[in-house]
Formats: sequence, structure tokens, C-alpha cells
Amino acid sequence: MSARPLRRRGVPEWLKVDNAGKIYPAARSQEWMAVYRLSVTLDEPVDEALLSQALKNTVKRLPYFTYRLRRGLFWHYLEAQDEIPRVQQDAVNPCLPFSPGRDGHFMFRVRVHDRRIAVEIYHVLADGTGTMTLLLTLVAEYLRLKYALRIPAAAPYILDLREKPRPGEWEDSFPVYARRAARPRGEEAAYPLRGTPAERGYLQVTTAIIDTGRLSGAAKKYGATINTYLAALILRALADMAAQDPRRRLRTRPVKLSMPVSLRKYYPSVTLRNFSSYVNVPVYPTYGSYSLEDIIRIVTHCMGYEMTEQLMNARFSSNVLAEQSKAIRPVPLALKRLILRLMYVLTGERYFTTVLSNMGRVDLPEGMREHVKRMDFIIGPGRSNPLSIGCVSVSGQTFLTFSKTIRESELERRVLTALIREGVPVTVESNRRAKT
Amino acid sequence: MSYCVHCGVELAPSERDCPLCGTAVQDPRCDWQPPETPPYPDIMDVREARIDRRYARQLVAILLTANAVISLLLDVFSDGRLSWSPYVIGGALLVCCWFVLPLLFTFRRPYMFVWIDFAALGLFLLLVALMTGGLGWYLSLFIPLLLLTVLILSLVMLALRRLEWPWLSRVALACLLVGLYLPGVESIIRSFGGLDLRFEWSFYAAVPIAVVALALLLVERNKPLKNEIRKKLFI
Repeated sequence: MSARPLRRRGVPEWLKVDNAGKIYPAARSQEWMAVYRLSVTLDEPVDEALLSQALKNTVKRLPYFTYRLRRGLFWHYLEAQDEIPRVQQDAVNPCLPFSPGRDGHFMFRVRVHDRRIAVEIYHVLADGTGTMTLLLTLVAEYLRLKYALRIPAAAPYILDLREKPRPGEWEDSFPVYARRAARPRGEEAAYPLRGTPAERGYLQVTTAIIDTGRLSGAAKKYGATINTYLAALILRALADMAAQDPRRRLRTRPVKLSMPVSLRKYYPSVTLRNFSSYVNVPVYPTYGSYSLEDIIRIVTHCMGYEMTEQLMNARFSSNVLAEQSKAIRPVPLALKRLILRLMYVLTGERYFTTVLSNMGRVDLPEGMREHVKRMDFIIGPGRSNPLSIGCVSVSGQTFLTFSKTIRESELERRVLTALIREGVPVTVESNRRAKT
Repeated sequence: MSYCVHCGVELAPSERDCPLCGTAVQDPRCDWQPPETPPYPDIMDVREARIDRRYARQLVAILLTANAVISLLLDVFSDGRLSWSPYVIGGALLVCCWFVLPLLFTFRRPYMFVWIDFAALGLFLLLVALMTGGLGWYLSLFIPLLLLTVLILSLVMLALRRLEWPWLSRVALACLLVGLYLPGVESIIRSFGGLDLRFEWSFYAAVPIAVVALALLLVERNKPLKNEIRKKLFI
């Protein structure tokens, strides 16, 4: 099908892959793709036909998500297409790489299981904020169709479907806000988590369901936010694990928690594409043992120092300058892919032990709040790092999800039992298949 | 509502044992029952092969036909008879059988493909034998070697795929089968050359293979060592 109808709506026929997204197609392999997933659980089973209709209406407003990835001579690019993805049944193993046979040429899939609507997306297309916008706008439209509700557009995640797509939504904001001052990208390698590989293609998911009020109360005892408190618990568990690691060479490395930061709070960008950076918080277990208070102080000060506009800008500006370099641009894509893949292997995931990506508290508008019972954020497997952590709070509950490709559950056990000792009740749920 | 006695976490109704430590939940008052709707369905997604098979079939057919037609025409027009083009066409079909055929079918029949591959090799060498005017080496050397190879390869595949042994033991058995294959090859070659039946080079090749098989069996029995190796080699 031609892309003319999209062009008529003022949507570009093709787009350059954004600065942060460029690494993902290069680093991907047949086994691995940077995929993550956000889901909403409603109070009633989902009507698949209505959801398909809602998806059709939503992608008209958010056509950017239907773009497909193509190879150019020098860079990958995104090309508009008019097809609408079909709703798929959910599976026990989320976040599998995209394939043309199952997903068409789309880079996101909408899945349904009982009361849950999930969006799985390839990171080349959007970061968490963009995907949350797609998911919540879709759910709002679904609820409108089902209950004839009038859910108002609510910043930042729910868009008005009667509006036309705005060009700022597909802007690559990195070069817009980058400056000439760059920051060196090199860092000290982090302690790597390792374990017994799990079944191939089966991401093991464990979700901890925590009362947000109790969690916030526990964090406030230390004068910390929920994000800082969770980060500190994870870092302390990692530091304890690293200190007990028999491999002396690795034991001396810092444990590092990578925490993605949306750049939209620094700049007036409304983009739905990738526009986030990260902060890697290190703790050095080799220098001695740390109390939770110590680590909370480290996280607070490290985040406070790193999360200034100047340092954030310098971090992403170095990537923008590299992309715009006259020496790099004319290199053929095949060669660039080799270099970028090597860079990803040598630097990408080597600089952190695990990721904690926290979407924070999601405020839903009146009408939607009554129907949304739960949200989940699952980060797909890393290329080499076997465990990632996603977090989202909604309806008074926080959902902390550990997703991993190893069998051992040591990190999540340490983190969640630490929460229990702090007086915060935790309920756990997993995607393990029942033994027969 | 059940709690893990080891970790202290509450378990969701879908959990039969603790996802964190594996401790089983034993509620003396009621047996665990799976919930009506589990949090995740029982369907497992499988990764799809990234080959457009229909396109590949058409491409291979076009390439083979073009190759056959061009070879035939050049051969016939150059000296008025068929001289070298059967080799080119036969070779192309052989390569097609070996490398392209398994990619064109969605089903997995490795045994069938092995037999097809060797049958194709047999036919190609039969063509060579007929065109060079000698079936002697074909019948007394090639056919016994071919049958022995297919037999051993099928047994190796059976050992690796079907036996329900630990995988290192299966690899060890496969090594032993390869160790047996080599004296068989030597005896066929010596019999074709009219030499007396003795094992010379095959003995020196078979002994290290047997040592490797033995080492694999020992590693299989040593669980800590095996786990350490798996961890080190985890990609």
C-alpha cells in the first residue's frame, strides 16, 4: 500500500532514526533486540474487536508508531506505512524480537490476555514516555468505545484523537537541544551479574506488587523518594552479592545501577521518540560494607550531581556530535553496523550491572481511574546483562518487575526480603509455567 | 493468601511455590489450585526464522534455470556436443540440495535431508563416473564409504537428538561413534587398494577422540565443574 494517505495528513514519508535509537538496529542480532513492554490491566476482560477498533483510531492520531525500519546506504531510516497492526494474543514469554512473519513490518505489537492490554515495542522507535502515551491513549479510546466515556486528553500521556498529529511528536529532539560541548563517554566497567542461562527465548518475569503508601512511608523514614529508596535497596543487594563473589578480578569492580532519565523535563520537547538519557550510580563494595543510609546518600548526591541540565546535555551532545561528524557520516552502513555493534558490546552494557527504569506514578483522569487496576513495565533482556528492573505506580500500588534470562533469583530475593524487613508487605507473581 | 516461610513475601494465587527461593507452599487447610485465569497465558511465542521462503524458492529456481540454460548453450555452441555442462549443472543441483533445500522447507526433517544430501552426492559422482568411463572406483570405494558415512552420521544424530541422556554424555557417545568411523574408512580404502587389513592412521586419530569422549563423561559426572563451565561460557 502506498504512503499517500499518511502524507495527506501531513506525516513525513520517511524519518531519520533518532540519535539514541541508532545503536539498536546495529546492535541487534537474530537472538536479541531491545524490546520492552508496558501494560494496563482493566477491571473487565478485554473485548478484542473493540480493542482492534480502538487501535485503528489511535494510530491515526499517532501514525509515527506504524513506521517501519529500513536500511539506507549510510543509515537506517523509518518509512511510513498505512497498514494497521492486528491485535495479538499474549504469550507466557514476553518481549521476543520482532519478526515480519508475526508482526508484519511493525516495530510495536499490541497484545491482549484476559483483562490486560500490553504494548511491546522496539526501542528504536520510542522511549518509555512515547510508549506510555501510545498505550494510555489506546486504553482511553478503548474505554470510550466500550462505555461511551468521555475521557479528556490529559498531559502528558493521553492525547485527543480528534486533533491532527503534531510535527513535534516525531521530532528528533537530541540535535535540536545539543550543544558543542561534549562529555567523554568512557566509564569504569561495572561488576557483571552472571548466572545459569534460562531457557532460550523465555524471559523470566517476577513482579512485586507493593502498596505505594507503605513504600513511600518506608522511603520517607530515610528522607528519600521511592525511586532513590528502591535504587538504594537494589544497589545494596548488588554490593552484597559482588562482595561475596569468588571471582576476585570482578569483585573489585563497582556495582552500577543505570537509571534512565527523561530529558523532557529539561526541554520543551513533545516528541514521542527517544529523548532520554541515563545516570549510572556506582557503589564500590571493595572499599567496605555500606548501610542503606550510606547508599541512599550516594544515590541522592550522585543523581543530584548528574541530573543537571548541563551534564545531561554534555552527555547526549557527545552522541550527537559523533553522529554529525563528517568522518562518520559517509561510512557505509554495513561498516557502521560493525563499529556500532562493537561499541555496544565494549561499552553499552559494560558500564552498568543492571537497569532500574521507573516510570513513576501515573496519574489517570477521571473515568479511566475506575477501570485501570494495574500497570506493568517489563524491560526485555539485555544483550549481555541478564537482568533488568522496571517500575511503575498506579492506583495506589507500585509494580516492580524483575525480568531476566538467568535462572537464579538472588537479586530479587535480596531486594524484596529487604523490603519485608523494612516493614513493607510484598506480593510476588511470576510467569513461570506450572509444573505438571 | 499464602506466604513464603523462607522469604516472607506473599504469593499471588498463581504461584504454587515461591518465585524467589522455590520453597513450596503447603497450606494444610487447602491444596493449591491454579487460578481460573493465570497472569500469563500458557501459549509460548517462538522465534521465527528470518527467511522469506517463497522469495528464496523463486530466486533459487531462477538462478538454477539460468545457470543450466547458459551452460548448455555455451557448451553446445562451442564444440557441438555436451562436454562440460553436465558437471556445472550437476554441481549446481548438488549445492542446491546441500545448502538451499533445508532453507526452503518449514518442517524439520534432518534425517531426511542427510539422506537426500548423500543421495545427491552419489548421483553427482555417478554422473562423473559415467562421463569419465569408469565405474570401478565408484562401486568399490565410493559407495561403501558413502553408506558407512550415512550410517554413522545418522547414528550420531540419533544419539544427539533422541537419547535422553545428559548432553555431555550424548556428545561423548557421538565422539565414540566418530572414533569407530575412522577405522571403517581406513579398512575400505585399504581393501580398494588391495592392501592387507590393518589399522594405521585411523588408530592415531581414534585414540584422541576416545580420550575426549572419556573427558566429557568425567565432566558430566562432576556437577560443580560443569556448572562453572556453563557459567563461563554463557553468552
